[in-house]
Order: sequence, then structure tokens, then C-alpha cells
Amino acid sequence: MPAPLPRRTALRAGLFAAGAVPLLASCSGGSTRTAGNPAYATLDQADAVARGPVGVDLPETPTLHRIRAQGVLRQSGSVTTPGFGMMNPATGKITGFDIGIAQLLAKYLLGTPEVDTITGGADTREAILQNQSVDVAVCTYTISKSRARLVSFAGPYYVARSGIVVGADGPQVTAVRDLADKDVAVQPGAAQEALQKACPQARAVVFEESSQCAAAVRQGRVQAWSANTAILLGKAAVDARLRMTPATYGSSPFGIGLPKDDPAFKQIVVGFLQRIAADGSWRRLWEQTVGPLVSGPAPEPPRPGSVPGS
Amino acid sequence: MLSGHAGEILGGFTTTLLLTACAFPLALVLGCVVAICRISPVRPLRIAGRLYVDLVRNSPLLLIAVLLIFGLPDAGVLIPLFWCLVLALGVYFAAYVCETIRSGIRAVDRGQVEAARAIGLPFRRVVLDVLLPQAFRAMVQPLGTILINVALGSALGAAVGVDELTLETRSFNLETAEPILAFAVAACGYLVINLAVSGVVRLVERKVRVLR
Repeated sequence: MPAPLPRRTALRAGLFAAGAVPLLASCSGGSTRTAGNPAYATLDQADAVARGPVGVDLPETPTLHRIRAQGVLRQSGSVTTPGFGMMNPATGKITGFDIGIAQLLAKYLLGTPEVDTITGGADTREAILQNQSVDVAVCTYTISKSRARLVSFAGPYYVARSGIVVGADGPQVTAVRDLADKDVAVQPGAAQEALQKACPQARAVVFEESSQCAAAVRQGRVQAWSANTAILLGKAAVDARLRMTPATYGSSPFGIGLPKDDPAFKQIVVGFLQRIAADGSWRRLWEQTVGPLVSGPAPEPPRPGSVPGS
Repeated sequence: MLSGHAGEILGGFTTTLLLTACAFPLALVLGCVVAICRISPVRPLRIAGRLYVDLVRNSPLLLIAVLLIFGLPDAGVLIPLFWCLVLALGVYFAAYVCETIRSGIRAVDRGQVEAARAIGLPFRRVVLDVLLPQAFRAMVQPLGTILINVALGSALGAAVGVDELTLETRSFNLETAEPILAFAVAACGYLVINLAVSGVVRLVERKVRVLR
């Protein structure tokens, strides 16, 4: 067969693009850039980070030594969790509460908020902490006893509650037990765990992205979607086809995952959490990230060490 | 720790087998149809077949799965996630099956067809008795590779809510925080499937080999 002429190649590429783009747009509700809520694009924790504290006279530990030698804090994070860690495609910056905590921690340890975010999802957090591919994990990481066998937790730094969203004409849900025998979209990680714990009779349908969960509810593939209230309120507020139910349940205490073998470093991070809670940095960060997505004033920061496993 | 979750993981393994068992025949049938289009004397059919292969083979499988899973309901067709994924795997690997069949047919010496014509066989007999049996023998290995890829590709179910092996081991990992163990179990599951496939492929190939 003769080599294809450039003109034909271009034609083919054009046909492909013309076919794929509207299809893609239709499957994500037409606003992939902000994943469904214009407010996501305006979140920015830069001010809170700029006003964050720098640690003085920190004890020398192997982990701290390594981080300082690198000049950057390597963290396991997410770029698809609105309010906590979400890539803004317009600016290329990651915005949210979790990334803010990581940047504040980097500033506390290094003097500059230099953070290198590695995204691996819920599957790999323990593994990459253990093999020191990252220094910390700040990624809606629920503190649990089984995980505390493998990694250390500093925290909780935030206690999330799960909420439930249904379609505009979906079923009445007033409590989590109403989800029994229903198909419920969840993302892997904190949301899936919380649902399985609170209502084991619910059938969890796991989707990778929050936009996919929202689409599954809109299209009637599942009867409900469960996630933390910040994500749900952010979505439901702008989509009339979704309805936020009054039901909330569970409590997911988010902690900073740390390597197990450096207890002195954990004390530094606990000290950091106490410091940002006391000097108002925590509240400022909350008001610039999760705050705009949920109703009500900023909560009190939780006390580190107050849950089993931390 | 594994024993407490053996039921779920075995269930996931079964779903992976079922996905593969449903998707591969679909890919075979669809791939045959596309291949026939591509070698047919009718020009629009040839163009359609070629367009299909170019579009599908050059897209990521995840993209096709997501398009079907979230695009079909918008078009008014809501089918269960399992069958959406079967459809995606079938549609995707049909492009590879098509190209394998085409190369299998190319592998048959032209002289064979000319000889068959010379002894007066009608077109149907030329294709069914001379061309395809020899072409099939050249396709055993590459079709086996596609079968293995279907089994591996079904792991995408974990991203789109199908309870197959990868998703079940992920859930196991979420509960127990044992990522290395969890994914080693999953890897063994795929290894078992694929070693079995390559064993069968070797057997079949030994039986049907053409000595040249």
C-alpha cells in the first residue's frame, strides 16, 4: 500500500476530532474544565499559605533531613477532588484544602511552600509512603487502625462528614439507612469506606471521578451519590438535576500520612498542626478552599491525636 | 486476612472471566464483519471499515468505555455497566481482530487462490475451503494475544464501577491497607487466566500448523 498523503492524514485527524469532541463534551455535562462548578475555578489558597508560619528550631530527623536536602516536599495528593485538591486547567495550579495543608507544611519545614504532588489515588498511599517515594500523604486520607499499622498519622486536621445526593426526581432519602439495596455511586477511598461502614447493604458502584458519579445519578444509572459534603454541595449547587438530601453520616478524620519509622518527624508535624490551628492559618485556609463550597462558618480545627490511630 | 475476603475476590475473578468470555466473541464477530468490509470489492464498505479501524484503534480503551457508559444514556439507552464494558471491549478489540484477519489472509500464498480458481472451484469454495482455513492457521497466535489483551483490558472496570478482579482487590486494599498483597493477588489472577490462554493457544497452533 502506498504511504498515505499528508492531506489525507490531516483529513482523517480532522474527522476524528470532529467526532470525538462533542461526544466527550456530552458525557461530562459540558464543563470538564471546572468539573461542574464555576466556584472551583475561583478557589485559591495562595493567600493563606503566604501568611503561614515557618518552623524554628526544629529537631533534626532523617525525614526532615531528606526533605531539606531535596528542597521540596514530595506529597501524595489528588488533583480531582474539588475543595481539597483540584487542578485548575486554566492556571495549572492545584487548589484546595489538602494541597494548602501540604504547602503550609512545606513552608513550615523549608521556609518556602515548595510542594511536588504525586497523584496515585487511594490504592498506593501506604506503598509509596513505605518505600519513601513521597514524604507525606495529604489526600482526604482517613485515619484508621489498619492503616496505622503501616504508616503514622498526624492529625486529624479535618473531620469530614458524608452526604447524599440524589436526582431531582430521585428517591426520598432522610438517613443513610434509606440507601439499603440501592445503587450508590462513590469514589474509591474515604467515600467508599464511609458508605460501607454506615450502610453495608447499599451497593457501592465505584467511579474514578466525581463528574462520573454526578453523571451516573443524572442518567439514572445509580439512585444516589455519596461523598463528603464539600464535594456534594459544590456540585448540587450548580446542577438543577441533582438534589442534596438533608442526610449526613459518619465521620472521616483526615490525617497526614507519614513514614512509620520516624516518630520524631511525626511530633514535628503534630506541632505544625497545633501551630496553624492556634495562629489562624487553619481557619484562613478553610475559608479560602472548603468554606465557599459549604454553608455555615468555619468549624473549630480538630485536636491532633483525638482519634484512634493518630 | 485474605480468607476473610476470598468470596469477594473470587467473585471479582469470575466477573473478569465473564467479561472476557462475553467480549472476545463479540470482538471476533465484529472484527470479522469489519475485515470483510475492508477486503470487499465495494469501495464505500472499504472506506467505512478503514475509518472504523483508524478511529477505534487510535483511541484509548478508557475513552471508548467512558463514551459508551456515559454517552449511551444521553442517547436514551441505559444498559447495565457490565454490558457497557463488554460492548466497549468488543468494539475496541474488533479493530485489532480485523487487522489480524486481514494479515492472516495476506499470509496465504496467492498461488493457492489461483490454483483453486484454475481447478474450477466457485468463489464461495475458494474462500471457505482454501483461503480461510489457511488464513486461520496464521491467526492463532495473534488472536490469542488479543484474547489476553481483552482479559487485561477488563481491568478498566475498576474505574467505571464494574465489580471485577481489580476493583475487588482495590476494595480489599482500602479495608486492610495491604496494597502489595492486594495487587499481588490481582496479578496472580490475571497470570492464571493468561497462562491458561497461552497454553490453549499453543495446543491449537500445534494441531493446525501449516508446514511450509
